[in-house]
Amino acid sequence: MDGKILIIIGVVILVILIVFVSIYNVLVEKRKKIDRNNALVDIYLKKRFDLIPNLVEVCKGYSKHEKETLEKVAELRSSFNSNPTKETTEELNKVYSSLIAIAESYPEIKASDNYLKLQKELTNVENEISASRRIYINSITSYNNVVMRFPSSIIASMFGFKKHNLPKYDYSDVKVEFK
Amino acid sequence: MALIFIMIALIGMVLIIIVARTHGSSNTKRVYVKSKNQLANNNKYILENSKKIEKIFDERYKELEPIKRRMLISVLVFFIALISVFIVKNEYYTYISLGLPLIILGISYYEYNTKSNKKFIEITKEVIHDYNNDLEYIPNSGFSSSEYALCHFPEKCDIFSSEDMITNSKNGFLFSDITIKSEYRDNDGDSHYTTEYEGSLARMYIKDVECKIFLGGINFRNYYTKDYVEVKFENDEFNDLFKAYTDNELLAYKILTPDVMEEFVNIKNDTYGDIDIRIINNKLYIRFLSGDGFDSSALTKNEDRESLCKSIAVLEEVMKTMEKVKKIIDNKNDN
Repeated sequence: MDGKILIIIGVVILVILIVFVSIYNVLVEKRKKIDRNNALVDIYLKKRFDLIPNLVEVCKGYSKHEKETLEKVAELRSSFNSNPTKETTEELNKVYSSLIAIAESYPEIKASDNYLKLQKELTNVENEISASRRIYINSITSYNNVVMRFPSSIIASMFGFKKHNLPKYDYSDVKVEFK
Repeated sequence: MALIFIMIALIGMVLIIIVARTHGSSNTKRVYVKSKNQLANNNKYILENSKKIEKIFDERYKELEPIKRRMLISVLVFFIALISVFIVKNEYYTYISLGLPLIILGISYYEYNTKSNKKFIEITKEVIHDYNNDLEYIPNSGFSSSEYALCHFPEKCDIFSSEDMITNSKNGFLFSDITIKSEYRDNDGDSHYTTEYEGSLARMYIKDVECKIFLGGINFRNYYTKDYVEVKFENDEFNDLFKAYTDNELLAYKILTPDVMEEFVNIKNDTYGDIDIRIINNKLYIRFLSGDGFDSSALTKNEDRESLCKSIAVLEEVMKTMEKVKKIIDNKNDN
């Protein structure tokens, strides 16, 4: 009788351990996925960032009136290259939309082959950024669901898994529509 | 002798029923009105052009009138001959007087059936072309089995058939009935076939899509777990209705934007039974359960108009959805 009780207790403890470990692994995997997807967003932001010089080149040849904006871009880029900071990146992203506005307001630029090719690349990058952000947000939501639900919330609090905040995107200076 | 008489009378009754069924033009009009009410909400073309379609049917079927008359006369002659058999009481006379009308009736019936099917095909071509000038109806054509195989639908497919195709060469739209059969062997080793799926498949070209996305009903299982990942989206209703698998998660998110997901949810809600959607390298496929859409061979004349109306309603719904999805995806890729 004692032996049977011990076996039952042993099995119960084993099942609990298995559940414990499974939930822990799920939490770890979901947290890693958030980091991976965040990195993916950064990759596409960098891709767009790398297209800025091409945009400057296209605008430079046609527009003499926007010298100030083009000079500012050159200044920010050299500042970024020597000392990359979050503020400089944000400034450059803001200037990016000004460059698009310049290009869109000059029919000669809009009609040029270089600009048309660049436009297609930029559209593609914008779609990739949008998709990667959605994936990132979904991975955070999925992780938060596991962290907040019972009984995984117990294991999450034991091992320091905290709810991840959803990112706030300032779309006004990032998303650009081509006309 | 009495037995022979009873058998002949029975055959005669069957023939009258057949002739009566093929001759009911007033019944057809009542069926058409019933169709109109049923389709009141979802087939604008039929409602606006009901008189034109009625005229097309009437003109085409008028050409069958002489054959119908011949059949009716054969039946009348048969019964007159039957009565005269009891008066004349001659064996040779019996065979000739009963046999000849039956032979003429048989030939006329066969001729009527064949021409009736041809007429329906002509009517369908005319109505579809009139509905949309870019569409063409090709009755004996459809999807190839190789194209079907690329879609990786879950049923076992030993025999694939596809016919009654409607196509638009401008945007690669193709709509066709499909039947999937699988083979099984019984205990004696004889092979038999069972119908795994009977429905319709539609296809449209879309731009710049280099991935595979499989969407199936909630019971859809991924048969290719190695190469495809399950993806969940932010639209809960979409996740409840569809299971999504893809070979490229980022591209799947690029293509399945909230607008596209909403279109798929709408068509799923309007459809009875599961629908399967595939996006495979520049092509969008939608597969759903349906009756014999534009198939003329299984129909009698009375059902022709109702069936055609229903089939065009289904075609219109599917085409509208696919065009909307195509527009969203193509605009996103262009702009």
